[in-house]
Amino acid sequence: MRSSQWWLASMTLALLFPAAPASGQAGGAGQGDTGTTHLVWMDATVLLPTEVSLPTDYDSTKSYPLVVALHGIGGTPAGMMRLAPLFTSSGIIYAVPQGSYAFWARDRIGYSWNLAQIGSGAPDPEATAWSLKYIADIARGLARQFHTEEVYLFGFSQGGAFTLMAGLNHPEIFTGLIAFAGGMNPRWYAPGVLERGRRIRAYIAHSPEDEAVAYEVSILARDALEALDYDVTFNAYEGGHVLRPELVSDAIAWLREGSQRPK
Amino acid sequence: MRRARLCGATTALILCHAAALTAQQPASDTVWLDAVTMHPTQVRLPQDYDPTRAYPLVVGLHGIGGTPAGIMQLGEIFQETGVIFATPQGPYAVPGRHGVAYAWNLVHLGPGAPDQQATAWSIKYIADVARALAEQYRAEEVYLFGFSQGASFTMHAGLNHPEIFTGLIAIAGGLHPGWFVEGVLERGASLRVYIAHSPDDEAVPYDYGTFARDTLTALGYDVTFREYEGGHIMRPELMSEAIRWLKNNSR
Repeated sequence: MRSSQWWLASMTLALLFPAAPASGQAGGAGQGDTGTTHLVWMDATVLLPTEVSLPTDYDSTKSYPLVVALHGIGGTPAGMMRLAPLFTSSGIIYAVPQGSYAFWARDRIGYSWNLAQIGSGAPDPEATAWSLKYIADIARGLARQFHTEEVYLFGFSQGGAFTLMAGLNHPEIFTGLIAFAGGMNPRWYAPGVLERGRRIRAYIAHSPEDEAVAYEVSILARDALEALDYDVTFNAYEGGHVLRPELVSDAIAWLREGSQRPK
Repeated sequence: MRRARLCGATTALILCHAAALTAQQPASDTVWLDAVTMHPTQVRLPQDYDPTRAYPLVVGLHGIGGTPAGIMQLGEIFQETGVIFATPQGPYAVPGRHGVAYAWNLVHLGPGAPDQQATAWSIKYIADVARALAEQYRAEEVYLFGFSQGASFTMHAGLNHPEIFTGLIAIAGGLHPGWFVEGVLERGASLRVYIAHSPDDEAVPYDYGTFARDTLTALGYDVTFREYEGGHIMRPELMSEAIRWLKNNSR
């Protein structure tokens, strides 16, 4: 494995196989461990930014589809904002929230949707659950704000995995899901969740050459959803763990085909 | 040219000033939303810690661009003198010299960011940390300690929560009466306060320290004020003195 990719791959492994929580709330500290420093994790409410771009020639009396875009682990909103023109030129409101957890990704601050980057000992399941709520809150808040009838989640890598998790847990919010190189681990889903909801449309894409997130996790997502009568479009693309603009354009065409609104 | 109407729509969303949107470039606006997140606090127990005994608890707050690790270096002084020392991590990440550093609000982003609400949430977070650790360790005396922005938050969180804290140690911070709801400062006069500030401080004006001293003294607080040399720095001997101050009045 090339050294420039080790951190991404190792973090992805941590994402796919999250460690059991050591201590969630204050109370995890062992008593009598003198002389050492230990960590206690606590909930805190913070304010996080979402960048919102409106379609070209936006008319506030009209309703537009909304796409909420989730970056990958170590990514930034700025990275996802580079794709904004593809969406806004197609008459779509494009919103990019910032992942809830900052860490040092090689030479700058990057963000993550959970604590996978810390490894064992961190309360990763709790962090994941709070982030799923945060993503749903953003989508609901922006949909209300812009009178949107069609709300899509879109994500790459860790953002792709969170797209499927947040989306399939909230079929009442979303019209469809676009997940690149994300995949699904059935253990992340509560029993019955996938069966319970409305069958929202899903566009799943992954490169068979992906060295960071295994291609199989998207095959698994496709098969699991198709078996439950979800409308799944699957795209196997070349190039490994990347997200290229022409791939996103293909997903936008898929979104437009299923859209109720005039094109 | 069109203007997006993003401002002031719901109470849940804090919408910043809308930038002008042109047909050519998809301009973007920043929408701020509450999110619950998990944050670590480093805790160090005293030497020869005995869980059947109660120890004073000191919660230490780093400054803007600081880290819990930086504050924990001072923690050794506390540890040797029989206190439980805890340093929470500020909830907002800022780039540091050697990695991620942290802040307690969004003031570093300048106007446009919802700094007041971020401050209010952090005050609650600091109070939550202190309360939870005091309960866990059955500490009867809880102190807040902070440097720079951490000192301002020490005064802000401490004076808003006199029911939690025994005393406050604020080094090179500021007190802003505008941060307090009317009547709050009068309510907390049981708190002991140790304030230190350097007249050479170029980052946080010395006047902020004397203003805090004068304001709290006039309201009947037990204030100890120390002037030190060296500018905007934390000096180890200040810590030693603050610990003596803490111990002298410890029950």
